[in-house]
Amino acid sequence: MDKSHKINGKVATIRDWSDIPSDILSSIGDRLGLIELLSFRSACKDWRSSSSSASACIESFPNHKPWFLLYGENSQCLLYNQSNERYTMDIPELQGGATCIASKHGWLLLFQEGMIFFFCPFSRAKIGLPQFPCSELSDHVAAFSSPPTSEDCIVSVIHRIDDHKLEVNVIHRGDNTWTNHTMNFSQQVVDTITCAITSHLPDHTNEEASGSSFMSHVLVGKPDAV
Amino acid sequence: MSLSPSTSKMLSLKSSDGKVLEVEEHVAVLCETIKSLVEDGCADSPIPLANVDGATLGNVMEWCKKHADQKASADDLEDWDAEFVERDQGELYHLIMAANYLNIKGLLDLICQKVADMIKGKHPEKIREIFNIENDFTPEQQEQIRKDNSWAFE
Repeated sequence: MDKSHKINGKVATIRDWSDIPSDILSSIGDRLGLIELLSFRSACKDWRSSSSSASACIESFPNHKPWFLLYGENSQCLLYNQSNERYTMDIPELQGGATCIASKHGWLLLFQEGMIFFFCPFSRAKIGLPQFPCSELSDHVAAFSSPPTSEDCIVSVIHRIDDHKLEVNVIHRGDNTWTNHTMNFSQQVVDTITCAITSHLPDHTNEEASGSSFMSHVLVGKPDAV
Repeated sequence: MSLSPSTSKMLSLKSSDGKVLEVEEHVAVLCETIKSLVEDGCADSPIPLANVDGATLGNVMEWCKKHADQKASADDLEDWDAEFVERDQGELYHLIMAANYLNIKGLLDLICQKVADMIKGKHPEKIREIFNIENDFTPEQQEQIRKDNSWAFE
């Protein structure tokens, strides 16, 4: 229903927006950043449900100012950006020695005493992974291919087990255990692991192969001894 | 050689409140809904548009005319669009509904972006006020949302 009233002598119409179709609402939600999306979703039930899949993905655009999440000994974390917007968040999951080993799409991949889990600081959702084969990580680098809610999520963690060997542990969503691969790379050959990549190959092979047609892990090291 | 606008065929569009608008075909086909009718040979005039009132149809066609103009530069269109969306929320509501019904992606994107910009930096109460929507959360849901988001709204 339209109501009319005058603003500065001009007739303005005020419309109730609660019947906007959900696909339009989700298109609006997709254009909002992190904090704005929280407001949008708190307006009413329809607005909340229509934006359930909104992920504030505009925050990942290169021209968008990055957010920093500082965490330390206690559960008080500081979220801030270069526009000097600051928020204090209480995140008990980051307390007590948890280390963030990767982050993507609003999810943190946390490691704590042999346990690896995904954690979203905004929804507080926590997704545990099977027991990691190692209780301590050294020189570790981790990556995941897509959000843990996605069917094709693959997580890989590379770390050094001794002076001669690197270990790569991979898990695919739905697996019960980590798949372990060991490689002989002495510290002289690979000095520092600087990045891990997990990606899917374009699936144009036969169907049988598609389940495992992904390549994980590219190691980038300093080949000073080669 | 492409058709010059002056020789373009005219289409009659009839709004929900019975107003008939004569629009050049190359302008009207920016609406995918109308384009399909034209392609299927079903564009008998006047084309009835049951979900769009006359004033809104006029605004929509004004946008289509500008965007059908081959001579308009990207910068020019951007400035023009920015001015086009400077409207009260009632007009924006009717435009967004019309752009959805007529399936005009460019216009729909433009207004969704405008609405997103109107939401930026506002608290939920202010958003409800701007868009005249009722808070239909139960007190329990409201409390849960307040608790979940307390860090952001303090």
